[in-house]
Amino acid sequence: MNKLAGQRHFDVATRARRLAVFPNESHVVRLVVFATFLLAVAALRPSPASADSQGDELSRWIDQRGERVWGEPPEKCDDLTFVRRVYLDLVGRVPSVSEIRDFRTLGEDRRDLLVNELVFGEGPRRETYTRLSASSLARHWRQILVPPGTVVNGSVQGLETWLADAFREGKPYDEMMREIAQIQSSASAGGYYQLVGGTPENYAGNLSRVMLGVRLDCAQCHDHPFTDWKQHDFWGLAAFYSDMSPAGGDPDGSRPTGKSGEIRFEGQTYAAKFLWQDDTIEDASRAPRVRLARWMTSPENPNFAATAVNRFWQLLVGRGLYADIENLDLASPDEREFLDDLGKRFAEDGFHVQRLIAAICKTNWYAARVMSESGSAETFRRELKVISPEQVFDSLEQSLHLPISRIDPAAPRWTGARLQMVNRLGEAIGETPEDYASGIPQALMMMNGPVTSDAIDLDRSRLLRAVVESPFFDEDKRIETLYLAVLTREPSDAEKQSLTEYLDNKPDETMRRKAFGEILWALLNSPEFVLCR
Amino acid sequence: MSMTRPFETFSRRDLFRIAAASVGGISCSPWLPKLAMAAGTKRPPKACILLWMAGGPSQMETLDPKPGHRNGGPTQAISTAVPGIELSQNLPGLATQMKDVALVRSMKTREGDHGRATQLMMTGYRPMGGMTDYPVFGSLISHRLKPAGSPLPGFVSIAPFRFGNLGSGFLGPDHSPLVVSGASNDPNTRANLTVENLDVAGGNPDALSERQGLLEMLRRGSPQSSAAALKHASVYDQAMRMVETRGEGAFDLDEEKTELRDAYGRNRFGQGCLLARRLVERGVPFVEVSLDAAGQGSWDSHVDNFSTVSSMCEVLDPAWTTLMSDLRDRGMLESTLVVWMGEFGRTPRINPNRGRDHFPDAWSVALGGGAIAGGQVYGKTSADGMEVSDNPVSASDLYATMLEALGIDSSGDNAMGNRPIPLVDEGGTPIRELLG
Repeated sequence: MNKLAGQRHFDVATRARRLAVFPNESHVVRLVVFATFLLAVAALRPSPASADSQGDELSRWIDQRGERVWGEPPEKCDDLTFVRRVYLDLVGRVPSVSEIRDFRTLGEDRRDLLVNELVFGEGPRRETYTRLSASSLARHWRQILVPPGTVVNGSVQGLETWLADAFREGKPYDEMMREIAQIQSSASAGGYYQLVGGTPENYAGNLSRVMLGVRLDCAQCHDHPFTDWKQHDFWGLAAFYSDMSPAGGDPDGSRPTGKSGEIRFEGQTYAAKFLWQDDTIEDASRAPRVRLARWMTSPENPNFAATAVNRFWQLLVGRGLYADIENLDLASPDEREFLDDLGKRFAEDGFHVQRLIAAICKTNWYAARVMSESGSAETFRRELKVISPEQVFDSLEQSLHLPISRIDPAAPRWTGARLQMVNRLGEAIGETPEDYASGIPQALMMMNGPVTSDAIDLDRSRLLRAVVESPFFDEDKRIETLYLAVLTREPSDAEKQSLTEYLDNKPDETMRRKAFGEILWALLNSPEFVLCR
Repeated sequence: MSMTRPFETFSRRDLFRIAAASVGGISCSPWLPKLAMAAGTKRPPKACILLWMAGGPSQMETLDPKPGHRNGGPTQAISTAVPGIELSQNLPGLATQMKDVALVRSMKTREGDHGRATQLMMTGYRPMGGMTDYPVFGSLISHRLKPAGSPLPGFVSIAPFRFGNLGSGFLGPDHSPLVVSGASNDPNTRANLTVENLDVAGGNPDALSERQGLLEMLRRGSPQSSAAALKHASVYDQAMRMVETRGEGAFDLDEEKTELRDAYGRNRFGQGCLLARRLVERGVPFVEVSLDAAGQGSWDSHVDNFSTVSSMCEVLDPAWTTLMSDLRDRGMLESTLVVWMGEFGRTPRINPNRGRDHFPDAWSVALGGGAIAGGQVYGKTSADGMEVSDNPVSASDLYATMLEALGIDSSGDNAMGNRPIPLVDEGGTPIRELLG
């Protein structure tokens, strides 16, 4: 209770401080009085019903469980690294210099408090963070549902909007997935069915991959050569969608039998059947998809919750608790134990997405320093994480102070520059967050593209002008600010020294000023900008 | 699905601009051929140029004319350098090259939708719900034949236009195509036939070495052993060398004789074919040049098939012909496979709009150069063109043949993770008759 009260006090104080743009003493005094008042009011209210409303208990459980599996807790990353991580992971962009400054004043529990702010929208920027984190999650899940390289039928925007609404409303994960499984028409659930090809077999392949972490697609044409999947497993799942209107694009595809819950492929008829069960369901024509959706998300299904937590873990930590996320059927019982237990807890907690995310972000494992060196598969690994195309643009926008207003004709977000960049980067996306997949065209765009050209031009770059022309900054401060804005860190002593020498070698003041553009170019193109440490 | 794209060719002003830019642009040290061709000690490395006819060209108006039959329409046949082999009147230039070209008139595939058929013909695999991300042919070849340490990529795609988002798939970004123009909607940048973003940001090429130095310094700050960081460094080093050497000078088309440039045709496809030769000369193993629309024409000739195909051939024929003779003149034809194909053929029956529709049942492709035994026709269609009457060829047969022509064992595998993926889809058998 004490801790809770203290935390509330803190939030109020933070809010109060942030309200003051140019705080002077009298402001501060008034605000402290106000805050104390609020604290008194807050103390009268009953505490929230749920014991683990912000995932703290689950977080402690993960920490302990992790130690049983991996041993000693890992060495922690520094504060600034942590801030960069959570901002990228939770709101999809790097923190601004003032957000970094705010974080530093948060005191002892600052990491947990920041997670609460970003995940649960606590604090004065509630609306912004809630919106950003919902759209960030939606983008990520859209990519899980429609992986890069898929030939899509239409635009993914509808699906992404559907996902963002669900995340913003705090819809439980199982409910979202039930809606996707029991679609009434090809336009339901953001039009996902239509998007991935509009056939029962495409949908079945995607659902088993997305929700159950198994790839059945090889079993479409023949029994799977490396796993136990048989053709009747695949088509048994596809049969749940046999009454959806067929797309008819594939002359060799499935044929409906005229009976719901039954499908024909190459002369064979298959009846609807759950995976991991030998018998087909009884009376398949009775609301088959509702039954499928219920089974999918029930505890009888061994993979649903495990796959879910594995995906969230991968999103945040970079590597799944079982790394081969879509071949979960290849994991040994030992390899699955942690995953299954965490999945169970997620289910018992009502599949609350935000709480799971907060819990993971508050663990020692999330906060581990990057350590590529550690070798064996059993030990915990934390690698650099490649940020997504949207995160690259949104981070550039934040770092460079690009105009963002919809009515500003120069705002790259609305001129098509964002789309162009996201598309180009989107041409080469890795399978996991640890995979850097960009090629030459992507590198050339970051090196010489229009956004970069503007960024390093003293006449056009807001960031450069703010840094180079500020009368309050000396040269060290200028370098530091560029580092903080772009990489969320201070330059090392060695870097400071190199850069000072570099600047000193410039023959005159004009060249010296221009050199800051070159430094900024290097920061934007450094591995650290696109690889979250 | 119908294909539309605004019509583009070079305007005089564009040409002037290109010429001016090249003269005033950054000049590189003259490129010296790295291949020991001149010395005659080494054979040039194998390469492939794919002339991709997006939209599906009519076989009857190109490689398989049917004069005299109702389905043949007004298209006449002409004789070629090889007695007994006839082409449509639209390809008089190619007729002179016939000794080095083999026609396959018996393609039989089953995909009649642009997207699905493109995926089939570009990857050799039928679309299967997009679950396995098959690489396109160019990526396969890049993966097999890209020379180590080349500053140029293994796969360059010139002015691509195709259905679907196809790329290197599970072979990864090392083998994804470097796209030369075509991505922008600005007709000028398209016409420029250069790589986007090759010009140093800020306009000062001298800045490059400073930037490289600063980047080096910053690299020391991230974990050296991280796979992602290593990959980042290697991609950036390659991109830097591309910028530094302006792509080994491959894009400086003005180094070529005016007559040769004219012969290729002063249009995007013609100059693209010339660029393809320059890239292959510099060690790029796979170049794809797309032609989907020119003048008033498009391969997707649902309406007015005859005039539209003949206007397409006015662009195609000189470029293809000059490419063949240019490769021969430079001693590169024996090592360079030239493939001409689209995603399917057109219906033999002429529709009420004097057009032809999509037709995968019986259509044609052409292979030339490389290890191909030219001067022959493989397979045959019936007199009405409605079906293959002799030696049907599937997409995977064609893939097996192209791989063998490039010296690659077509029964081999790629790997996706631990899973072996055959280079060629089930049942693909190389056509021995076509391989010299």
